[in-house]
Amino acid sequence: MTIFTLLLGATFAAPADAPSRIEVYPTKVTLGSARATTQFVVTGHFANGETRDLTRDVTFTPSAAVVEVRDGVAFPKKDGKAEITIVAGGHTIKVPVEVSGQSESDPMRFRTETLAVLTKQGCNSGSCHGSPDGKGGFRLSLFGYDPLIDAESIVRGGLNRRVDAFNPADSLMLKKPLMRVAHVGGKRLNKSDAGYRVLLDWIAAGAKTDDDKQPACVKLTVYPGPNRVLRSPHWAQQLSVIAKFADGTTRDVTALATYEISHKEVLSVSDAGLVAGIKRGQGAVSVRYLNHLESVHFTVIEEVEGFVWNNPTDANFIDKHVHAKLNQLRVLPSDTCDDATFLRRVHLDLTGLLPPVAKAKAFLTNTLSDKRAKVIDELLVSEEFARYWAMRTADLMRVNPKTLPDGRAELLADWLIAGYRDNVPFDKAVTDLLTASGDAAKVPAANYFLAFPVLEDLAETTAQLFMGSRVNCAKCHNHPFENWTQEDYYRIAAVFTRVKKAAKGTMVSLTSTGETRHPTSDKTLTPFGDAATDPKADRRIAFAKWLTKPGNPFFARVEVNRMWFGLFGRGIVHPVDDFRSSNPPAIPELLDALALEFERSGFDRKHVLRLMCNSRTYQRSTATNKFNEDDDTLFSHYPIRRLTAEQMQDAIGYATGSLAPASELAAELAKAEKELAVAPTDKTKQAAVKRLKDRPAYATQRLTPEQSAFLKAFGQPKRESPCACERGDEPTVDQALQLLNGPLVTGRVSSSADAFAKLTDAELTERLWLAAFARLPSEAERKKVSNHLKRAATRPDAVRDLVWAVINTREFLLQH
Amino acid sequence: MNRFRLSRALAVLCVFGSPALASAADPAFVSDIAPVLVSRCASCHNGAKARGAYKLDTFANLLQPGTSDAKPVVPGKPEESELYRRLVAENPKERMPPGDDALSADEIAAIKKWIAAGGTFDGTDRTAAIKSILPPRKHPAPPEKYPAAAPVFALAFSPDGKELAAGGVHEVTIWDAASGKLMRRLPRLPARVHALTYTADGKHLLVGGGTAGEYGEVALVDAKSGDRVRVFGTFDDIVLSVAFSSDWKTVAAGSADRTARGFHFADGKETWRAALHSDWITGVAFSPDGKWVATSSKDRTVKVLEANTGKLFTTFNGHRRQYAPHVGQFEVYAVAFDAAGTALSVGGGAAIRAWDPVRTQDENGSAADMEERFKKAGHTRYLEFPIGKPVFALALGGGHTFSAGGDGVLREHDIVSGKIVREYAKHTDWVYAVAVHPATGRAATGGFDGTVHVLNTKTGDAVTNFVAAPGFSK
Repeated sequence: MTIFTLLLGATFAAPADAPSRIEVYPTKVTLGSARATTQFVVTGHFANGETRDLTRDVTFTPSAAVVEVRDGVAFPKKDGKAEITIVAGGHTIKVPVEVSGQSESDPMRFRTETLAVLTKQGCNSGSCHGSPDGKGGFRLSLFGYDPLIDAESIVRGGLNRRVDAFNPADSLMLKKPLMRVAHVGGKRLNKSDAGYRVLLDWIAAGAKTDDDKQPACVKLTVYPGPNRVLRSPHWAQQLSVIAKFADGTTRDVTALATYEISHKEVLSVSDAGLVAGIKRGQGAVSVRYLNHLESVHFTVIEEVEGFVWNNPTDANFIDKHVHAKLNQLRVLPSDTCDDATFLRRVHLDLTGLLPPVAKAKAFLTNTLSDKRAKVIDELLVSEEFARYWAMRTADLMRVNPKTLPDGRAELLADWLIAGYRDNVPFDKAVTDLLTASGDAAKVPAANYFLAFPVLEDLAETTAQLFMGSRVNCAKCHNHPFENWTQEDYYRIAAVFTRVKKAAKGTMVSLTSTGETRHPTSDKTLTPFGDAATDPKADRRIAFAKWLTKPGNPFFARVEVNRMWFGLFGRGIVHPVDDFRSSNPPAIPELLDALALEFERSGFDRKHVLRLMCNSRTYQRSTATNKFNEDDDTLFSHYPIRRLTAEQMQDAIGYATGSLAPASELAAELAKAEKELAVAPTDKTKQAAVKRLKDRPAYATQRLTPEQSAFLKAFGQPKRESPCACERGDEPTVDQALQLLNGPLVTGRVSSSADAFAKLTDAELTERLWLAAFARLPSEAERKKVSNHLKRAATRPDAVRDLVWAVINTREFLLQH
Repeated sequence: MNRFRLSRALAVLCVFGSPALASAADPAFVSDIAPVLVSRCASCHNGAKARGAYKLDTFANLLQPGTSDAKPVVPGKPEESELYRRLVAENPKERMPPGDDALSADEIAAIKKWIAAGGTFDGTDRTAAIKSILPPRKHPAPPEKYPAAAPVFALAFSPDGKELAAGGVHEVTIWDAASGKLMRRLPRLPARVHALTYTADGKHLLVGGGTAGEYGEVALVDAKSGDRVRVFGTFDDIVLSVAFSSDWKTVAAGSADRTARGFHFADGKETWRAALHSDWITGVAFSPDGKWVATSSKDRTVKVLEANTGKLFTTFNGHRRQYAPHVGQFEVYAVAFDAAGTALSVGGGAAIRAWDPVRTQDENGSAADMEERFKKAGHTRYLEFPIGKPVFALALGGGHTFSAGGDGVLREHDIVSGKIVREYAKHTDWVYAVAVHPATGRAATGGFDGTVHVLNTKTGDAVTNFVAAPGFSK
């Protein structure tokens, strides 16, 4: 039986296992120094479209003894030319090899080799000797960004105790990481590591650090990239890393590069750049060499027993991309949620508010097939939508009366609301914001420059808001996890360096001169983005043009991702303001398609939100199945999250009957305005209109935030940072106490008895359920409530208990 | 050296001699096994985070099993002893030390033999740190010809001023102070020599040095033959400084292991040990009246100890000031006393500090007498040394200081006036060592590049320059 199965397996597996062609990288090998090496990567292409790494399954046969191949790496033997014949799966490829310079001395280079090893072994990382004060009296620059500091520290520092040119192996710099001598950082180096040889040879050759005239690395190429699929059981992939230098030469640095994994539960990587899948999922491998960083995104897939793709229909292109990814990763999407859940969800996400009771009831009984789309359309044109989404934007721009006093916070908030209300194209809105000048008491957008008075703050905030990039690390040194250099940072600052703010007062104006210099090289920097044609022109205009031009790598992607985050509580790139190649999007095709659609629509925010809300992906149930219960990044089910601070406060108002639906304010306002028109000088009428406009009773609708212990407890941001993370979503004891018997809850629950005094048991139950959950109570629930009310000594107390119980249910507290 | 080894061996025999059990050829724990364990095992199997919860820091702990519960030493049965088994295991995951070369065949054989012979302890205290019971190291010979120049960290003129001793690699080299000719080599000394002082009669040299992160010693060396007459003590890191008291009866040494120690010169007995600094001790100096020893440290302080007991008298904080004119935090690299008892200390901070221990203690008084302190405060004088790099070396002579460092320029200050008397021609590199001989009017500087410059202190001219690296040619 066993034999039979094996034979059968062999018979059937053989043809499928033979590649239709193979591909070898690189296509020619040049080894110009005794320690030059070349990593081969051999890829098999299969008839079914699969690709597979065959590097470890092929034979390498050199035609002459000038070169030797071990474990897929070519090592030089002597000067000369040859061919390496590579055979795999019945295919043969010949790769020409040229070996030279074997008898010439080629001293180990400090800047391109020693420092790379210090990074690879972790010596100069931020938590070790790369921290600003170093460790144990030994300080290195972070990831070797400053070779001068490192040269002095290693060679002269500590009275030259770290390197011993006379007995190189006895150097403290080797004995410490080898743990021959006690090392607080533990064992960091093995004698078998490629890095040991580099350090030893470098010290033996006199620990020279004078290679500053040698060409610098200008580009890093990682192969394969930028994406690769690893299909079980073929979960290994060798990488090749080639550095290009300023003089045009290239060098294989696979052994010197540092490899990091974004999702360690999905992928692993060896020091030699061999990637291996661990389980189904996605992750990025970041490859660092000196100050260069490139990432390769891996999708690791395997068959899952019992998994059958159920071919869900696509409502629009969003679902197409999500479904493709889910099918690829063998994740089964959840079913569509019921009407009540949808209604509550879409109201909360678009307006911050629960659906009004009457609307909920009407929606539940509506039998039209397009009723969900209709609700979405209604909400997108509502005043509540504009105010709620403007509030979320204002959270990131320091729109608070402390920073912008004398009504300017309200002025800017109102401007942001108008942007959403009138659906101002996003490119125009941002251009208006970034190029605003004049008296900030009159020009709302000019307050942006007063909210961030320090040039560096302005640069960092602009990059974080509209480029989704946290560049602040690059203020002091090149960014440790991304290709943002210190020069980039100050070039962004250079965009705003001519913005002049009056010391007192509110004028924002421009000067025609003023430059930003690099803090260490003192070089005058050109502003980031496209070069302006007129050196005297407002640099911000050129920058805004570059930023908002279709095809900009950041602008559309960042904003659609923020919109997605607003609807799902999780970005396609997450966190939303941390776009970097080492933090890849969960579904890249989806992000690309949304960005393209956003650009194509003329940066129409409501259009994109409408598409998102109408997708099946948005309308999925939170209930999981066996094949998606582990997924929390691919949107196979709707993510459950706590109501935000403001949503919670207004929801409690609705449920307890103490807050009228905000949608009713429009009629009131129209009436009040009409009355004011008759008597325009009437102070009371003016105040009435203002109150209706400012909506102070609604936490989700106010112009500027209310400050309260309740809101603070639930993570209301202070509006001091451009980071979306300023809004807290962690559970705290304070939250539990606020909900149990905090003043807001007690007060509103207490008054609910009066508000609901006239309702019958059945009316009360229905009213409460529709307000709190946007659904009708079940029979069991009705009965339970009815029994509770009947048994109670006094009805008002019983009502209060009931209301309290309702707002302390998870169904109420969570967005689902 | 031979005499020393013999006497120690005799002492061991007298106390523990039980020839019936151990044959003469059997390895002894202290001299043969412990050094190997310390250099190859103890850095991981040590302290609270010891690997596998197995500690090799004391002999008592060495016998206690780690998490594997396997007995480390089964007397007479090496194959059953985990300590031996893990050294020869074929599985690379089991073989110690992991990710590093195996112990040498000789070392493994010695451990096997020692266990086979009973695994006995020939020291005095089973709970003492093994590191502390190691005998002084035997040093290898220096390179016959230097392949490169080695930084010169120590220089000393002989009492007659004719010879100049320089620290080399595993040796001290003696040069003719006038001609710069190599006179002789004193070999088999620590890998790096950071401190050199002649005895009053010029017949011996006190040599301080060691191996970074591992070992330090102070040895008395015959200035002619190079024989190591006596080792005053061994340290856990390089000895960076040694000094004689003015009556030549006491020796003090400071090490990168953060201890300062006092020794009787006559018998080499350690009289006190002070672990008061939180970083390397870079310099030691006796006050002329013999009352105090000052220790300078990379921890940015100078401490004044009672010379007889090593107890703290006061701490000088003039290298870490929070207010002008000499604001900043600076490591201190050298300290000295002049004939009047003024302490002088150098390091970073662009000035030599001249101060008085007693007044320093007064100023350090308790908070209650703050007003009193303020009145006394500020007695420190600053002898300007206008460079941005640290000053590493300081020598005194004829009421003047001679100091140099990161800019390579030897500066001579008048201690009383505080003024710079002379700036000598720039050394070719950073200067780590300075020596001065007032009677012959010579000063010498030793640099990172291995060169030694001998200078005439009367004229400021160069006397001779040489690279203190025998056999080395550029």
